[in-house]
Amino acid sequence: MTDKAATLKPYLSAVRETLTAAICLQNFDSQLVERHNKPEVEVKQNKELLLTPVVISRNERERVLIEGSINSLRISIAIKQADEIEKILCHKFTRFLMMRAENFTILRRKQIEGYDISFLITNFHTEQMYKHKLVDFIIHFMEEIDKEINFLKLAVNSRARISAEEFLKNF
Amino acid sequence: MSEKHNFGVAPVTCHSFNKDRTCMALSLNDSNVKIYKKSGPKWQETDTLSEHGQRVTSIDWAPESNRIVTCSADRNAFVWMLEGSKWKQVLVIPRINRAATCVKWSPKEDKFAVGSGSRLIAICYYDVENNWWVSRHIKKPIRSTVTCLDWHPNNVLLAAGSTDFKCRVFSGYQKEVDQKPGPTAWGSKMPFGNLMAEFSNGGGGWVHSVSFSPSGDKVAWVGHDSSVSVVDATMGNQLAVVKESFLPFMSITWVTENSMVAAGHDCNPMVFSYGEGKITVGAKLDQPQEKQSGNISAMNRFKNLDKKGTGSDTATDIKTQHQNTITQVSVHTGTKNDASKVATSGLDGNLILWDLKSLESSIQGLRIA
Repeated sequence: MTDKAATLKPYLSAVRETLTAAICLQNFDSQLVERHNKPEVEVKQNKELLLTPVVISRNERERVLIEGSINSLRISIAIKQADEIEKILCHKFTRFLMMRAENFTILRRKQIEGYDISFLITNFHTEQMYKHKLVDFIIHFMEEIDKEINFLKLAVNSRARISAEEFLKNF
Repeated sequence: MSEKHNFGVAPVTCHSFNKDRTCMALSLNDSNVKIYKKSGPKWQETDTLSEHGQRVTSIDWAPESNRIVTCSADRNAFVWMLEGSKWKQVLVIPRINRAATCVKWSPKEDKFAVGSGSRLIAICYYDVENNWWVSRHIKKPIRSTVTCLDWHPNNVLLAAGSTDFKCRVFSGYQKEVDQKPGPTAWGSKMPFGNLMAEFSNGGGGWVHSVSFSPSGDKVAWVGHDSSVSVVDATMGNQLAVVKESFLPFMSITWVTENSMVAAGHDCNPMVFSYGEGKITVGAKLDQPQEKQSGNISAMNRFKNLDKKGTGSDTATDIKTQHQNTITQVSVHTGTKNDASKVATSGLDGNLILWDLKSLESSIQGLRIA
C-alpha cells in the first residue's frame, strides 16, 4: 500500500504539469472548411496543427493519453481494473457519466479506444473557465474514480454476503 | 504602475487605439466592433460597428488617416471612416476563401495586409479609378494559416508568422502606391511577393506573433514552443533564440530598439532585451502583491467546506492581474522606439495599461534600454 501511495503522487503531478502545458489553446478557424471552427484534435486533417500525443502511465493498467492541438485537447484515462467485478463496475460507472456528458461540459460522449473515459477541452472552455481549475478537476477526477470504484466493489461484496446469508437461512 | 479596465466576462479578442489614445476599438469575441471613448478614468461605449457576420479577428486603427480596418472569420474586411459622428464602412473583399486572421495598416496607411487561413496574405490598396479596394495575394511558400503580420517602417517589407512553424519576410511592394524603395538590410530587390528571408528557430512551434524593431533591422517572433526569437539582418541574419520555463507567448512588441515585451499563457507580460546577438530574459511586469495569509476563521472554513468542498485553499483567482491568457500586447504611449506605456488585453475581458517607466524604477532587475 505504501508503494502504491508513493507512485500516485508523481503520476498525478506529471499529469498536472503536462495538462498545464497542453491547455494553451487559442481560437482557430478551420483552414479546410469555409466558415467552420472545429476541434482540430478531433478532425485530424492538418498534421501541422497537432501536437505529439503524450502517454503517462503509472503501470500497465493505469495510464493517461493527452493529445493536444492548436484549439483543443483530448485527455483519455484508463482506470485501474484488477478483476472482473471492477471491470463491470468501471464500465457501468463511465457509461453512466458519458450518457450525461452534456452536464459535465468537458466530457466526451465516447471514449477513445483502449481507454475508459475521455475528456475534450476546447478553446471555448478555456475562455469560460479558469485553466488551473480545469486541471484541478481532471486531477480530482482521477483521484476520486479509484476510490469510487473501490467503494462500489465493497458495497457489492457486502450486499452479496448479506443476500447469500438471507438465502441460506431458508435451508 | 498599472491601470485595469474591465469589459465584461467575454474575451477581448483584439484592441486598437486611435492616434491620441482617447478612443479605442475592441471586439468582445463576437461579430461586433465596439468603439469606446475615454471619459475620466473610464471608457464610455460610443458606437457599435456591426457589419461582420462572424467573429471579428483583428482590428487596426490608422493613426493619421483615422480609418479603422477590421477583419473577421467571415472572410471579409471592412474599412471604416468617420463621417461627421458616424462610422461609414466600405467593404473590402480580399478574395480569400477561409477566415481572415489578422490585419495591419502599412506605416503610410495607403495599404493594408490581411493574413488568412487560406494560406496566403492579401495586400489591399485603394484603386481611385475604380473606387474599390484591390487585393493582391502572396501565396508562396506559405503552407499553413498566417497568424500574424507586421510592416517594416519602409512601407514595403512585411513580416509574417504562420502555423507552419516559420517566420518570413516578404515584399509587399505595390507599384500603384509605393515609391521605389531604397535598399534595406533585408535586401535591395523587392518585387511584389518576393520572399526576402525565411526563418525557423529549429523547434516546432506555431508562430503566434511577429514584430519588426523600430529601425526595421531586426525581427522578433514568439512561438508555441515557448520561445522568443530575434533575427538581426545587419548581422547577416543571425538568429537568437531563448527558451525558458514559461508557457508560450501569444504576442510580442518592441518597446525600444533593444527591448521587447511579450505576453501570453502565463498571464504576465515579460520584458526581453536583445544585444550582441543574445536575448536576455528580463523581469515580469506583474509583481504579485503578497497577500496576508493569516489563519482563516472557523466560520470561513466551514463556509468554504460547504461551498467549494475544500477547507483551506480559498483562492480561486490566480495571482496575476490578468486572470486568463493575454492575447495582444500593443504600444499605448510613445512609439516602438520609446514606449512608456503598453496595453495588454486577454481572454479574461480585461485591458491593462502598464507604465513601463514607473515599473522600471520599482522592479528590481528590470531595465529597459
